[in-house]
Amino acid sequence: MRGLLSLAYITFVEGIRSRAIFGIFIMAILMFAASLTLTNLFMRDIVKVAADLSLATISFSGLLMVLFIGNNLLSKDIDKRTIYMVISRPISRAQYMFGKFLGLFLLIIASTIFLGIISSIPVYLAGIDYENSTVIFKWNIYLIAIIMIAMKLALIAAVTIFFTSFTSTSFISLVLTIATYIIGTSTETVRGILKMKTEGIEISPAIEAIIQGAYYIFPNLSTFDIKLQASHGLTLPEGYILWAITYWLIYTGIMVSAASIIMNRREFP
Amino acid sequence: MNLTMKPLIFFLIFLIAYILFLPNFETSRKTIKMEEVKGLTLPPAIVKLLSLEFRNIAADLLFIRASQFYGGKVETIDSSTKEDWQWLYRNIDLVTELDPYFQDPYYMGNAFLSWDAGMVKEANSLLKKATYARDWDWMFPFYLGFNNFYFLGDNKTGAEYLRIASQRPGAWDFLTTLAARLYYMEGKTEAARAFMEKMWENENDPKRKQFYLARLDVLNKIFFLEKAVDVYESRIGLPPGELKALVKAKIIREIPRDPYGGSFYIDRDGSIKTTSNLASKHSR
Repeated sequence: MRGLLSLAYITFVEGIRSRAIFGIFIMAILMFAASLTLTNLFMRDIVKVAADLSLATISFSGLLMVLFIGNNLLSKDIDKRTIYMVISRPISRAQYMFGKFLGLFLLIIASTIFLGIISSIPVYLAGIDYENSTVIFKWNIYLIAIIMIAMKLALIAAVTIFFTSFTSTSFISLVLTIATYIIGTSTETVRGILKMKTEGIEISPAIEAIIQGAYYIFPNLSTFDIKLQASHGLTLPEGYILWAITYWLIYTGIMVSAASIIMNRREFP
Repeated sequence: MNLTMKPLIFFLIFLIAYILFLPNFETSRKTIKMEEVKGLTLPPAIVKLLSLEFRNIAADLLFIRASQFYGGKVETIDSSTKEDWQWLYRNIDLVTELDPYFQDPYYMGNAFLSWDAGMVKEANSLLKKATYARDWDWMFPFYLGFNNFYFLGDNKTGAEYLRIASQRPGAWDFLTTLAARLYYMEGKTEAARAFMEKMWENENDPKRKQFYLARLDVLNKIFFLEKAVDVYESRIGLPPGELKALVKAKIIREIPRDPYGGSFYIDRDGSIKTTSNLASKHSR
């Protein structure tokens, strides 16, 4: 247990110390500053546009962090062959994988809190600048949206862990994670389009089956995307958050435990 | 030559060449993208897929693109063609597919399409989407009611939408009475004035506020002329054939001027109209 926690701590500190994280933070801060000028182009829904930009920035910079820093942190040991040092220590491989995930999870939480605080400044400023009774904005839903983004990022981190457990280079796991992200965000839209059934366009049952299969295999990242609701202050349906958390726990659990299983059977040359 | 100088010289040569040829690159780019006309609008389903989880941002950016029409074209509304308006409609429709709760595109679409483009049907389809999506917002059924009443002459549908508007939170109290008044088709100009006054009061954008003020001005003048016609009829016993008769009978001093550049006249059914039709002439 102590080994697991110290591994998580080391991973976290390594992530915080990496230079790339500063670049991502600077980009995020610049985007928040840009939102202050961009909102001037709108008439009524100024708070909405500020919230859109802030949430998108958190999500996008978090994504960059998980994809590049996270992926690097996870596959570094295998890339640089320092894994031999680790597996010779009294720590099981499953503990090793879980510790890595925990460290990355901490990194995601820390940076989301940081970005979340900065991001609320332009939203707050847009709110005091303009008052309209038809504009609804609720901070609690905005907060939930940020938490959901962190959950989504952690899920992607779990997917990365899964891919690093069997790939030999970090680049392959990066490509696979990006592909999973793109599929995960669009399966729901694709299914929606298929359901509309445009007249005169026949969709072969094979394609339909593939899309249905993809929907079950890949994570449905749209679950954690409540940016639209947050920027318009719409209340979420009852039980939505609970189901989202359950889905997240199960999917993340599957990914991390599958990664541990594969890691246990893996042989290092 | 000093070895460290070499890269610097190369760097300067390339830099100068870059600055010199930049305009050429631009013109060369223009030749290829010339045909990327405004007519290009992607289907909503494709944009939804392409924008991944950043659908809101896509909607915002597309709206900025659509509102360039507002910034650049509104001054020369006369020169906008049917295609320009169609483009505006398609873009706003796309933006509101991506984010159906977004207020600004509905406002802009309604203002331009109903008054300037004469595309009331399209304006109403946007307003219907807004009424459905923003089910707490009373402004959109209000506009929908107005359009039905004013442009389409469908008082019953208009009154129905006003009733929907009056039931939503924050709606003006006078909507219920206005709906009743419209239902029995009484005093079209007067009701339109009441409508316009409220729209003007509620508008924050100074440019649009000015638009409403101009329209209110015309409606006031029409109302004034209608009253004068009533006076004429009660005095002479016959309706005046033309507005000049009112001046001759010394009921009014002069025929007011239409700020839109048209001129007032009495229509065959006896109602007061203006050749500008409360919008710029060439756009219809």
